[in-house]
Amino acid sequence: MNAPTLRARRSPASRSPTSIGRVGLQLAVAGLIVMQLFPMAVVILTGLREPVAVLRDGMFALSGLGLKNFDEIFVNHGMLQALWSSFVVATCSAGISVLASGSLVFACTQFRFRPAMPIILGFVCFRLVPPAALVMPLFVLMKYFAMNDTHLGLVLAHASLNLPFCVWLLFPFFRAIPNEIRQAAEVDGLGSFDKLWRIFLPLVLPGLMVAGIFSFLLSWNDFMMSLVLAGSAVKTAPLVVNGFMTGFGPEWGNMAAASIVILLPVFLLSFSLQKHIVGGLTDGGVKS
Amino acid sequence: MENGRIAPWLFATPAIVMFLCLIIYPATEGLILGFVTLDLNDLENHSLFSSASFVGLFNYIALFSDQSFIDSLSVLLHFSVVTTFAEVVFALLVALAFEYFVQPPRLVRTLLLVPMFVIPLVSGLTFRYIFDPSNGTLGEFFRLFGAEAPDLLGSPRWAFWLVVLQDFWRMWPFVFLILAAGLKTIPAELMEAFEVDGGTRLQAIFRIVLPLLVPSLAVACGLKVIESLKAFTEIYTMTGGGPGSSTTTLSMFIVREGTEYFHLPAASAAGSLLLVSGIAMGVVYAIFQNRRGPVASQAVEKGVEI
Repeated sequence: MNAPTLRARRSPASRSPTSIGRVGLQLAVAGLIVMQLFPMAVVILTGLREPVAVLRDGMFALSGLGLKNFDEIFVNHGMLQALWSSFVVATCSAGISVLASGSLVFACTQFRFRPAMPIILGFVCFRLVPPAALVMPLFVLMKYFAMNDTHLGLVLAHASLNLPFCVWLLFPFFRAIPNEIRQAAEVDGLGSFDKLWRIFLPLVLPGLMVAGIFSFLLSWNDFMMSLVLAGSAVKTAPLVVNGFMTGFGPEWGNMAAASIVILLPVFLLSFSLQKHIVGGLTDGGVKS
Repeated sequence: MENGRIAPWLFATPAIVMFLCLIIYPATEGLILGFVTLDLNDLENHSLFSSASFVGLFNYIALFSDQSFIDSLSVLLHFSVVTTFAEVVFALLVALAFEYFVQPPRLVRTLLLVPMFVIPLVSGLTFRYIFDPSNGTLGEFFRLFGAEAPDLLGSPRWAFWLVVLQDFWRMWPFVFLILAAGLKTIPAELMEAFEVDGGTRLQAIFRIVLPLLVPSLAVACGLKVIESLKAFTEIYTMTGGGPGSSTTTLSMFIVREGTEYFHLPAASAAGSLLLVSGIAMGVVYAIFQNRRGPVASQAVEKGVEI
């Protein structure tokens, strides 16, 4: 424990509380960690043990360890195909959302473009609309154009959620890029597209990446749209995970294994974003 | 400057087309469907609006006399208020403790925040597993004492509170991050000056820190309420909205009416209400942000880490 040195460095004015109080606080923190990690520990342990062993020896034994559940979900339950579906849908919807919103925000911030503010505000208005408000009209729309239960339909539905978010995230970021850069480029005689590629893209790439990863996660995590708009021909990973709640009773082993698989990319991507999470959730704009 | 006239439209067009087709069109359609009656079967033969007949406010009147809709509003209200209050208070306590009383190693903070990244689907299923009386953790625990576990998720009262517990577990770290970012923007010198003048640390927190933290608290409450409005997946997988309608929120009401009962008018009317309130909140939030400036960004620059 290097708490004293930390304390001395961080806030010189802090008077250390009584040692009893501090031990109490540390115990409380330890209890909190247990509370926060216990459910995940249960899932990991269940996923890694054979269901028979869990039934026989109880939940907190270590018998029957192995990858049997993982084998089962990939071989017999089409988990691989579902993961691929989810991946394709998430990548495509994140891709088109970021491309479309990026070039829109580029137009609105870097040109003398009169309707810029009304357009941006129009998008931003929809950022906080819950997906359930649009899911039934989208269902009707997809059904009408025979796009329900297709990858394309799901991509477009997710894009409708991602688009306002991306515009909202990217607008402050693009606006913060100083005009001098654009003016310098114009003096050098670069046209619009050269300007975009050579000077602008490297500057905004971090922002586009963050918007892309957030959008990918939103689509990867989505359950409601998949449930309503897809399900038989197109099965995304969340649908397969939920499918283990069968009519004959839940298959907890498979469900836990599938949960672990579906969570892995979420954890990896989230931790790659950790510096941006607070800003991404509250302010828009990306600080690089 | 003719380049400057056309070029921005070229760049803006794809997003505007998508916006009109994927957001404005469905939103308008949803609003219209709230004022008509129609047969969902007409969708199949591509004659959606030809069979529709305008019925004015009939759908809304029917909606508000539907007890299950009123129940879903009441569940949503209770859920939002209880989770927001509990999570903001708890996250505030933890954030203050971490900032001014114990400085835990970074790993501890990271571990505490892990549930934030657990997706709602897995969170709901996990809590269902834990409270499963026959082969879940709770059943296991009771069997240690040779007792039969109660079916908590089967009781309307308990099911609601377990859904709240699930939300609390997953979402207080989210509130904590916003508040911790807010605390980082409060200069340490203010606290020092107060303590030099003979105030205690607790007084400093009440007189200096909390008043300065009000914008962050407002943002945290606002975003948490919005997250509660979205609540669907975790409740769907944990309780399926039941028992009865004890955990059916507005989002679940809409999806159930639309996809299980094929009752499009009710789903559309309820969806329109959610849409309008979502847009209203978006506008309010944009105004708030515009007036106060970005709340968390300075803190992010100072490096709030997870």
